[in-house]
Amino acid sequence: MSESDVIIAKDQTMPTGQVSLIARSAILIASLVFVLMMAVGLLLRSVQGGFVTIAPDMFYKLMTLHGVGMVGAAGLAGFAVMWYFLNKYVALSKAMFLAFLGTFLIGVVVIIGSIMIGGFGGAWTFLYPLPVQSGGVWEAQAAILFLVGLLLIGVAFLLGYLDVGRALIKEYGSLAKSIGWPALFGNAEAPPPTIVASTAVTIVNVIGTVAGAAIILMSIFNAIAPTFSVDALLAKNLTYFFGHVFINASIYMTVMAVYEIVPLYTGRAWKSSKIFLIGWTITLFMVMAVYPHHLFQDLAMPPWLLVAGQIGSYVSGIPVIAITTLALFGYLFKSGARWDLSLSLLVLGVFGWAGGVIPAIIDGIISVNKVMHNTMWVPGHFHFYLLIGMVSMAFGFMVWIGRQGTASAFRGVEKLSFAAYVIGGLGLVAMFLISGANSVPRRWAEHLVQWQSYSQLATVFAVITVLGAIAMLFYGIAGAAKTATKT
Amino acid sequence: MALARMGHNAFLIGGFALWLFLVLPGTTDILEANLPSHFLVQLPLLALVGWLLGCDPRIGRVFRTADWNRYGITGLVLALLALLFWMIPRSLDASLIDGCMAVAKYFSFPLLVGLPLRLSWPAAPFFVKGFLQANLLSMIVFLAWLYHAAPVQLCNSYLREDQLLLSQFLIKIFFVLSVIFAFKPIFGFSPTRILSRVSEQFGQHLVRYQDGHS
Ligand code: HEM
Repeated sequence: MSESDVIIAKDQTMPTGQVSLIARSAILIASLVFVLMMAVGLLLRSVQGGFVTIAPDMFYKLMTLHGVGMVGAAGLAGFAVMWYFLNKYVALSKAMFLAFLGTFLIGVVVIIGSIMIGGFGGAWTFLYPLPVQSGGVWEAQAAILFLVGLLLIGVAFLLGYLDVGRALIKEYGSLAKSIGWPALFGNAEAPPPTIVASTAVTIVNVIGTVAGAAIILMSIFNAIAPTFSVDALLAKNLTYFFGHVFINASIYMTVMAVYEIVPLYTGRAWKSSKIFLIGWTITLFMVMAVYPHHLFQDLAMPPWLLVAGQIGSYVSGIPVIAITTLALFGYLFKSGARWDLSLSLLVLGVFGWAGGVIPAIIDGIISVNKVMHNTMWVPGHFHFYLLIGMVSMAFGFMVWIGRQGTASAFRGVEKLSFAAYVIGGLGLVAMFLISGANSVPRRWAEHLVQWQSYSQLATVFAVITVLGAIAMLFYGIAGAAKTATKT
Repeated sequence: MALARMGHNAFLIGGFALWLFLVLPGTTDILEANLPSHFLVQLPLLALVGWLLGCDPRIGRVFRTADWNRYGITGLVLALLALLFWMIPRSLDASLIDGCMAVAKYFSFPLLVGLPLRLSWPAAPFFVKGFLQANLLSMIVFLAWLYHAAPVQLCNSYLREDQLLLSQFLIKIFFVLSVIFAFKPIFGFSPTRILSRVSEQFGQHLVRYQDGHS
């Protein structure tokens, strides 16, 4: 053990044994998917840059695969983080986690089949009527298969969240108590941050799953019997309600890694302050209320709903994101925390989450959205808080869980990989945003020559990001292998 | 003495009386006159008959301890299969013109839906209950859409307007049920639990009162 080595933060209360093994496996699976799908993203960007030529239908298949793969992996990673830390406080069922994971993986196989064999390329958002009106590019069966795969993934998450809900209720008596209302409105003791956040996530995701299942059932029925038409606006509302809630919840779950791991470095426990409780209670409602910002271009939407969507989008950024970021500064300030790869990734994650919200809020302004919607600005903002935000936090958790309690320094090569991930990621995001600001459309397989320089530069950044991400995965696997041989 | 026996049998008598009332030709005429009342009033009330029978402590004891109904799985599957059959518009339609189907409906809702639900639901694990509730909510929205989007008249006996009306009612029911289902997990106690407590205590009170007088 050299001078610069630090003992990676470990806490006696952290779950070990099978719980740790299950969580480690799940986060490794999710991270592997992240890296594979990043490689697919790199390919997409290089096609747009004109470096590589593939058939347009192949581009859309790969774009669908990239989108659905990333969103699914984000959900899995977030659930693994939440599940691991929840085990500190409540008794969760390992069998239910395995049922969740099994059903999830079956859904993944069905979806991959629908895309790679069935040829489905209607994007992960499966927005009606595209899945059933492909113009002959894929058959209705492929769309049905894709939707069935999504339904299975929905069932998987529902099972997972029901077990979380059961455990929270058993321990705290009710969800009102576990989200901290008695502490907020009275003098009761506040539950730990992980419990508060898990409660909010469980509630919104169960509601989101009900909405998602309803629209998926309608779409499947419509694909079988096309004369039963779906109201396109209703479909869009239900789909984006579900999609918005799901992907946001994946970030909310992953941020629990920050609440739980950062205190091990700073020696200062992350507290459920009143402001923290208020933040999560507001988020509980906001995350469900702001989805109309996906529908600003739909003139038939009631204007009051769109205005509510705009105001809600401003406000929704404030509670948990601002509170988490400020608290993080406070906890880190003069704490004497020894920086290592895991802590750096977690802090980067919070930066990405908070930073990504800025272009998101700009796009959430109705008058801006009229121009920026369907430009690369949109992938720009969500890659910001997913790639640099959510995925960094997931990687931070992965590296930490494999290394906790062992001696390790922030080695030069790790710093280099971290720098690659940061520089590549920021460059990639910047190129998306700059393209968007210059009106380059999103979701186009072929780009005009005038646009290609953006994509070409983005491709270079993407290569750097992928290399950084491969290194992170390597550290994750190495840590897991070490722990496995130790135990 | 006679009164006391009635107290013991309050649920059986109540259930049977409700059933008799529901199968009276006058009642069936009114309830089956349009699709929403057929679907949303008659069928749930028929299931309620079975539910009441299941509240009888003797029936409850026999079934709840039964080995073949562990976690209530067998009973729930039975109820779901019966519902699956009656969910098809054609089945309901047939019950209006075919006497056999009508009789099947009057018996199967109490005995194959309400009774097994009452006897199995309390034994079911949390995730099974939650899953079924979430699934029911999605299905209600789906059915509301189905009756709304149907380009044709689905039943021989009911017009398209009836389908649209049913669809609107289903959406309202969706919101009401969502609140009811979410109530207990969020606040820690169930609104229906209050009702069933009251009715159980009332039953016990009645028995005690009548025992005292016999
Ligand atoms: C090396 C990293 C990545 C690269 C190079 C990349 C590249 C791309 C490209 C080129 C697109 C299509 C843009 C368009 O023309 O509309 C895209 C879309 C998308 N990406 Fe990524 N991406 C990366 C990482 C991620 C991550 C980490 C996530 C989420 C966790 C993610 C989620 C998505 C989603 C949801 C879409 C939308 C697909 C659609 O429009 O249906 N990506 N990405």
